[in-house]
Amino acid sequence: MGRLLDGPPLSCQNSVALPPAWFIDGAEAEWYTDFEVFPMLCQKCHKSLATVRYAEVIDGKVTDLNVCPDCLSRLQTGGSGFELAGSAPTPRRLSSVREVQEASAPALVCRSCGTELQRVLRVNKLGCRLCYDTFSDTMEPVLRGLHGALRHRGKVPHVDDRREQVRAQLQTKRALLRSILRMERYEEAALLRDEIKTLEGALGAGNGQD
Amino acid sequence: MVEVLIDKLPAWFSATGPDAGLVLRTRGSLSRNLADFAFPSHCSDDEKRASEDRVLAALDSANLLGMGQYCSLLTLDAHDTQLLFERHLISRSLMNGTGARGVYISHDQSLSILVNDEDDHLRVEVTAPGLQTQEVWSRLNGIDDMLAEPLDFAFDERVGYLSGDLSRVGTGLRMDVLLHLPALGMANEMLATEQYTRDQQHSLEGAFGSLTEGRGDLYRLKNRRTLGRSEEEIVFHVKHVVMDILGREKDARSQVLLDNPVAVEDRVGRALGTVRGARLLEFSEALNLLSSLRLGLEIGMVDGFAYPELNQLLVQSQRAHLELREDQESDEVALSAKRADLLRARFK
Repeated sequence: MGRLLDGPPLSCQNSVALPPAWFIDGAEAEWYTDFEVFPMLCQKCHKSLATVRYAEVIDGKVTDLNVCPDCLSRLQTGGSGFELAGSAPTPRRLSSVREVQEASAPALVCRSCGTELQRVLRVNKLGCRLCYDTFSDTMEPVLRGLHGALRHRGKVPHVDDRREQVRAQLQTKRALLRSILRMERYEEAALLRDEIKTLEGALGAGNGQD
Repeated sequence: MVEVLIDKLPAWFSATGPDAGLVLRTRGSLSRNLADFAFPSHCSDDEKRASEDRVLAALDSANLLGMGQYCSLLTLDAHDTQLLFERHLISRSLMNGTGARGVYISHDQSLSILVNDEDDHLRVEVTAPGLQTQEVWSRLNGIDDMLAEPLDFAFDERVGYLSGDLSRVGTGLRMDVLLHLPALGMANEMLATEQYTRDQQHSLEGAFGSLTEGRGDLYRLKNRRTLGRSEEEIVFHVKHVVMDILGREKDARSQVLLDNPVAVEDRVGRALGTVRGARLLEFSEALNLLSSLRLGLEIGMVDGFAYPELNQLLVQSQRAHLELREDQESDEVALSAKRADLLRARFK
């Protein structure tokens, strides 16, 4: 089932920088309010100017296309979609995109606690730890929107392996060093660089003993 | 039980930390969940009782119960619950929740552990006066280590510590710094400052009402991201965003004092006159008066009182604290009168 998205077609240049267009979260809203609209070609025929955005669910995956009116009518008469929003290229509204996202999400339910995918998308809340496995694919854009990242970095419980702890510390300190250098705080950076060298030395010494 | 606690002053009132004039307090909270239970929003009453029992046993084995007390919200009446909320010792969701839930509070109220809040079995919170991000995280980390011994926390290699709230998954660490920014408000720069914090992936919101209302010129700066950055990075970035905002506030103060010093003197002088003479004060007005007096203190315009007293009055001007003094419910006019009495007695 496909749906028209409420918003202007994106340029290729912008679409590269953005997460999937059907997903927009408040945390990343600023990306979407500032973008400029550039004309782009229809992603179906690659000839006419794209004027509408069209979302289609195929095998549970949402595909977002920027298409011309002719291709839109071919898509719709082909029985694969129907019109949800007007075709005027107005700035996208978060709520309407979220509605599309919810409506087009497959009806997935956590077998352990009964949490439905729609609830996860609506309020960003889960019911139990198994929800993280059940909804793992769908959650990726949500996590990216909220945190700009998908993988944990930092404290790990019950780590007995000293070398693993040193590796984690090194990872953190290197990230901090990058931030500090961007801020041009060179004195702090020098101290941090020394700490990194010490940790690297400790890791190297450990390697020698292995 | 709660009255005994409330009669004691929280450690952060002391205003002994760095930048304690501009930064009232630094708080860090850590979300943790028990691995073998659903998140509290999906727990039955029996499961909530069982998870509460397990957390209490862990608090006991970590020798925390000797240094504080546990208050079950099922045994507290609405007034006592509101008292804890006004002290920022419990969240609104814990206050309005259902089933077995409660809060552990250390004697000096610098550590509170919310049990069975909406999204997390445990939310460990540490509060310190002034800007002390690293110190707060160090203490949180130590308490987390102590509790991780007896409790098995829900953790996933990919996304870290699991929470019922996706905005807290990962480290589970949310830093929350309470700032006093009157000059940015006077210079109409709050929206630009909020945009800056958003650009830095942090959030800035009004502590009492919306950002644009700016009641009491008090704002809360928080990190938005808990996943993909380690705890040390989160703490580092929060501190630097706060330092940048404080720099903006100091610049705005210098500019306001340069451009229109009489306006500032007038604001502080009027506030002093009002607290000395008013017979009725609504909470919003009291907040703004206390803000002006704090500003006067920071720029050396007034003396005879200090930050700890202003912190204390800020909390004691709230409804449940005022009612506690009279031990009965009051209507709005009676509350306003009590609030005015409280301030007049201090600044007479």
